[in-house]
Amino acid sequence: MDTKTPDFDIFSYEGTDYKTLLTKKFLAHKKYEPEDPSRIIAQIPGTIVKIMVKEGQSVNPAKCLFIIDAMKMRNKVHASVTGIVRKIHIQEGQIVSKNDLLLELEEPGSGKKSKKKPKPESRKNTATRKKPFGKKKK
Amino acid sequence: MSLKRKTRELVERREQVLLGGGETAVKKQQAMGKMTARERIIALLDDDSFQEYDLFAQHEGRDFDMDKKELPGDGVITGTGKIYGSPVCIFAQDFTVAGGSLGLMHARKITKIMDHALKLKVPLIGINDSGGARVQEGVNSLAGYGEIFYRNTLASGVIPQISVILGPCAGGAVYSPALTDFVFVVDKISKMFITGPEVIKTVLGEDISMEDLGGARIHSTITGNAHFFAQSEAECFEQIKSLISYIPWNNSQRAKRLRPRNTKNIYKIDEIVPVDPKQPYDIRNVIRAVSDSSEFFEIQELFAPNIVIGYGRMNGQTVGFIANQPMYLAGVLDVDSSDKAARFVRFCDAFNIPMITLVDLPGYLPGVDQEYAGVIRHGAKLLYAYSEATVPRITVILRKAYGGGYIAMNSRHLNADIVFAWPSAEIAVMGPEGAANIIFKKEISTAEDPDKMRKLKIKEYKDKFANPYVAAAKGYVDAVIEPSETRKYLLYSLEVLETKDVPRPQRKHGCIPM
Repeated sequence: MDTKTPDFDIFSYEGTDYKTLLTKKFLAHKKYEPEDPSRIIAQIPGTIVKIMVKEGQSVNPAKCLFIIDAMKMRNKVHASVTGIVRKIHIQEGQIVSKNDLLLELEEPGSGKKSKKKPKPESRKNTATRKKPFGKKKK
Repeated sequence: MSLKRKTRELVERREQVLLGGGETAVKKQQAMGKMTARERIIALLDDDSFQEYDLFAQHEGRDFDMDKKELPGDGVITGTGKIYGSPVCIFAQDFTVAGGSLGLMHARKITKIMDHALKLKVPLIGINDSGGARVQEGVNSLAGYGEIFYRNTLASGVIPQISVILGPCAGGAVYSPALTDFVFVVDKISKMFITGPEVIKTVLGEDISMEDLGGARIHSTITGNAHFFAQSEAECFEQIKSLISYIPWNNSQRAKRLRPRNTKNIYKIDEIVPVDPKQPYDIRNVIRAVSDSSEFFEIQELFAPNIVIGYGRMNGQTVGFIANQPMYLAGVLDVDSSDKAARFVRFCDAFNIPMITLVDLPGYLPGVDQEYAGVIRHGAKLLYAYSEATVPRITVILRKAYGGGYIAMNSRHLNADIVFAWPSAEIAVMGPEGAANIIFKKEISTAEDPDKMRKLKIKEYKDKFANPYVAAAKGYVDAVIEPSETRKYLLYSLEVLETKDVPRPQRKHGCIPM
């Protein structure tokens, strides 16, 4: 019979602290962050073919912001909210990686800057999402 | 030509084909640390039990100069054999012949042996080691895969199907193993994925090695696609033989009965489990404390270790064990553990294997990722699997059995046949701490010393509800038993349940929430 005792962790569940081991998958689970519609992130790697807006321009969900060429398709990217383009981080012809920040919007009535100003942690979290299993960066 | 000469010609022809892909290809295979297809079959089957079919099959490739090529056996060896005297049908892809690629005849040989297995009602073992579809044969290769998948599905629940991944198994090829009941992998040798590292790199820009994408370890720990992980092919074959010894030939038979044996004395059941539900222990030792010879053959040991599944024997007869593992995540149910257990329950039910469920869990794992991953849908599979199962189902509640987790673990309410509880069982909606915080929220928050009041109320709740007697009073627990008597009660119950017969309404099939 296996008698050696491993180093147990504490797992809190409904007010009870259980002594147990935590699985790798449990430890690797991502902390939830609500989506920020004012930050347009690349969902897929590709090439920016055309940018249809300028900084300061007001946009709404009907407006195409830019076209990204990915998976042999030209994908039109729209804003998911009505607002003003605050900053464009891309140029036409630029190759972008997945999760790159492409464009920032400012929602009207949210003051001078976006209410959902990008938090430094959320940036960090975006970066870790690139390597789900903690693999080396290329 | 005399018969003697004709026979000599046969021997010569046979010898030629038996060389497989030739010396160079065989050497290459060995350099990769792999056995050849023929060596594998010999290693796995009982001595001299292999009878080969379609040795002289010729491939169908006519384009791209393929008609000038000889592909011995068309890259796959098929036939029948025995494992511990039990008959099996087997195929092994031969990587030394055109990379084990699948062309029309190759697929025909496989489907023929599959049909044979279904006709004979014996287990099917497939050894996969193939570069994939034979591109030169075009759509014929795709047809071949589809015809294999179709047969895998028809055979499901009728004969046990075992897949052994001993090399690459990529793209469409992975779906045959995925449709079978047990997948065996070997470290550094097995590779399984739908799209390989190169495609992932071009489409998503992600860099990953084959091993990290679909190696044996990944499928054993993360994806759950594999059921058995071995360090070597020899170890893998031993695992297959053990599995075969535990399962029946088909769905109308019982697993072979061995001589009943006692448990080993080192497993003292009342010393294994701490009475405090917050303390961990290895539930597998409880299984060993009740099974014949204290043997437990674990399945998916590395995947979702918070639930334990596998086979043991009681009175010589195979029994499936499903048990929460307090050693990992306090034994919670989650997406992976529900999937793992549900699939096992269905296999046991399909193949007449009685089940013993050991319960010790605080409930379902909370978390946004769990909810997003569909813990509702996945958790429902376990409820479904237990509820539809008609084989004998016995439950033993050892300690905590809280909330939805209690219901899911083969409770009386899902029509378990016999539910036992230890005196240490706590059957309740939640743990005393959580319950006291809700029920006595006002008393605690308005008390002079909230901490003292909380402790008092937790104790009050514990005294009243943290026991098996509330459930026993309602008939939800059939008997509260001494832990040291567990094996005795289980043996007796299994004997009583031998004649169990539960008719089900006529239907094509249920609609399990996939």
